[in-house]
Amino acid sequence: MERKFCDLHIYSDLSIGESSVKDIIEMAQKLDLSSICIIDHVKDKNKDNINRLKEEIKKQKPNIEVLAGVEINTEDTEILKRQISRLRETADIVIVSGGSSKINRAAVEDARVDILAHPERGRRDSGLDDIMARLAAKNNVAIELNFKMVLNTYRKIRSHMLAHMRDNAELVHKFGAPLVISSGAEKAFEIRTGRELASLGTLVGLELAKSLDCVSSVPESMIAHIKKVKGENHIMPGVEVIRKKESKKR
Amino acid sequence: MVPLKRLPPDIRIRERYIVFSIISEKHFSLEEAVRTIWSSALQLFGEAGTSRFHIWIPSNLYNEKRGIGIIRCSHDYVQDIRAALALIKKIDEEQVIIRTLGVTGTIKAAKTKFLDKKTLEDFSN
Repeated sequence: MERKFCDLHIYSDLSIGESSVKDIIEMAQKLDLSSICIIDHVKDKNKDNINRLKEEIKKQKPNIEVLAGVEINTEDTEILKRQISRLRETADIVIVSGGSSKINRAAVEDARVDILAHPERGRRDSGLDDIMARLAAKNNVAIELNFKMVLNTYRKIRSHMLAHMRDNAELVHKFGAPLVISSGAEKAFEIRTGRELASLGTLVGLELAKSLDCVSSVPESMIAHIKKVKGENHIMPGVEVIRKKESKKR
Repeated sequence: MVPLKRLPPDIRIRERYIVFSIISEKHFSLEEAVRTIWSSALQLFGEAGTSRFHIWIPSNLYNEKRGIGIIRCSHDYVQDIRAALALIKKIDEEQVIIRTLGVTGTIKAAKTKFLDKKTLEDFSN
């Protein structure tokens, strides 16, 4: 069976990116990605564009699966919680922009979060410890290896970045939390094919099959889970409606 | 210089052929492509690391118009070269993506699968 590749972290010009939704979808098709998620960036106060983003995606009529997600970027855990409860319904994928210890911890504690993005950003350490990794496994919050962090840095900083990512990948692997690799692209020319993204995984010490899973089966099962939760039969975690098929005799 | 005779197959390094394609609005000459690929690999892995890859980019198999070429390398380091290719952003200030189309074990397979050489006449030129 051929693998399908996903990239769940791409910005368009409706948020902080530079390329239009149309260009992104075209490039993703060219690079054989089967599903992508275009991300709206929400800071402390600014309003979200997620509905506009959804309309724009619908207008393009893409041949591939295109989701609309949101990334929450804040330093305050209270605001983070409020934003998650506000945006969880509308957004397909909820990403928390990691970096500060408090936010990293709050994100892995919240089962409504899908991805904790770049927990090592702007830090001198990797941003994750054993407790957070265990919590991420329990709450099924995926930890992200962000390709852009390596692409746009050089020499000493890139080396530190890779070292932190290696630490995180090892921790996450040990505690069984999901790990995803995404491009974090701000323009169409920063998107990469699935196998190229997976090469970042092997670069930080993952096995080839595992790092391919990080761009195919892990995000795929995440999307499947979200679709199930958003479906009408879902009531709450553990409770769903199973309709009986009507018998033909009567 | 008289070239060495070829080593027996059990001692020879095992090779793989990576077929890459350059996605960009411009066309690039072989020289530009080779320079960029080498500098990216050298930056990421250093001189000692790159020496293990046995990189060779055959010039006769590079198609400038389509931007498709082949990199020969040692079979253990295909993923590392993929990473080096993925980390290329620009060739001469022009945005590019270098993607790999596939990896094969022989040049012949690379030609038939990715370079559209299917009949005997195609192979002669």
